[in-house]
Amino acid sequence: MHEYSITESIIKILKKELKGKKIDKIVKINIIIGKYSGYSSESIDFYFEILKKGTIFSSAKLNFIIRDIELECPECSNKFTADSVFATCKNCGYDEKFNVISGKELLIESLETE
Amino acid sequence: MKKINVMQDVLSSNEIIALKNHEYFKKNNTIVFNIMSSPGSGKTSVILETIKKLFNYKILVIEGDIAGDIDAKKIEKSGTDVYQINTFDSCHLNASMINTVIQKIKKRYDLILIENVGNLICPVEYNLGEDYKIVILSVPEGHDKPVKYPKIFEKANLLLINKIDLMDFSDFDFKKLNETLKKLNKNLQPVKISCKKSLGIEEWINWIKEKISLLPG
Ligand SMILES: Nc1nc2c(ncn2[C@@H]2O[C@H](COP(=O)(O)OP(=O)(O)OP(=O)(O)O)[C@@H](O)[C@H]2O)c(=O)[nH]1
Ligand SMILES: [Mg+2]
Ligand SMILES: [Zn+2]
Repeated sequence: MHEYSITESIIKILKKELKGKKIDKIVKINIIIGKYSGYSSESIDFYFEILKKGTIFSSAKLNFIIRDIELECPECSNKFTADSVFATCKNCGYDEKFNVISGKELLIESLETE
Repeated sequence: MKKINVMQDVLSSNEIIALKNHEYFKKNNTIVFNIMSSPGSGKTSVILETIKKLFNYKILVIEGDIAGDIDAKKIEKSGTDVYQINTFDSCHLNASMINTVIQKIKKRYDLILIENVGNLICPVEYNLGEDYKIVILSVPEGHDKPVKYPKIFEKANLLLINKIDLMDFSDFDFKKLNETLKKLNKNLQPVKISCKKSLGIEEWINWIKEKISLLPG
């Protein structure tokens, strides 16, 4: 349900973007999704398959470009990728709150037509 | 094949309306709290305690539920103005729903308390135009919730630990909770309360009053 409304937003944004443009068949929508975005690409895909019916996106597939979680240590400025925000700095041992440099994003990158 | 660049933030459409709401609240000198928790942690109970204590203030409560108006009825009984939003297929409130309420508001309020849909995951992704995000975690849910649902605790301005009257029947570990919070949100100091036994409510009310006092005018 969480991803239902976000998938609706994706379609809404794209429709707005394409308004007034002459578009051939859209075959692919590239989405950038961070591992710490809070959204599951599987669920977005699931809802997209339902919501695309009868729209200009009916033959489109979603392609997810996954962004890793990149953290910066506030103690020693060490930057590294991690699987979660609960991490330990290999450089100085710091293990509290890190700055999240990337991994939170959910962006529509581009569209591809036939 | 042709590629069309889009590069749009999916969450930005909500963000734009949230900013509009925030401007409206600021213009009216109204302070707004977005109260979030799992189902049943005590959002409505906290709101009822709060309006009891802040009877000197003009308060509006906005109730967000998937269906029904049980909570709104409870607030109404206390004589406080209340709007019920039913979100139907959506598991969170969004800025546009709050904007619809703004269109209907006929008077000025000192504060607005928004009860979000019971859910620890989605509501945090949607700013409503509020000044503060309050998260309630209740003792029976366990101290490990911030490990499992980190985002909401990361964004919270205040954490209320409700139902502390049930501590004797629970293995809820405050030390472990604080260790997790240190990694997510260093400013988050949990305030322990019990709506049932009226414990700790004063500390929470003082926090609210302090925030109100920061308003200009
Ligand atoms: N023991 C105990 N029970 C409480 C306390 N606060 C609330 N409750 C009970 O917990 C249940 C849920 O409280 P609500 O205030 O309705 O919780 P809520 O978060 O608004 O629930 P939803 O709107 O359904 O998500 C009710 O039966 C309350 O009486 C407390 O401090 N101690
Ligand atoms: Mg409630
Ligand atoms: Zn370090």
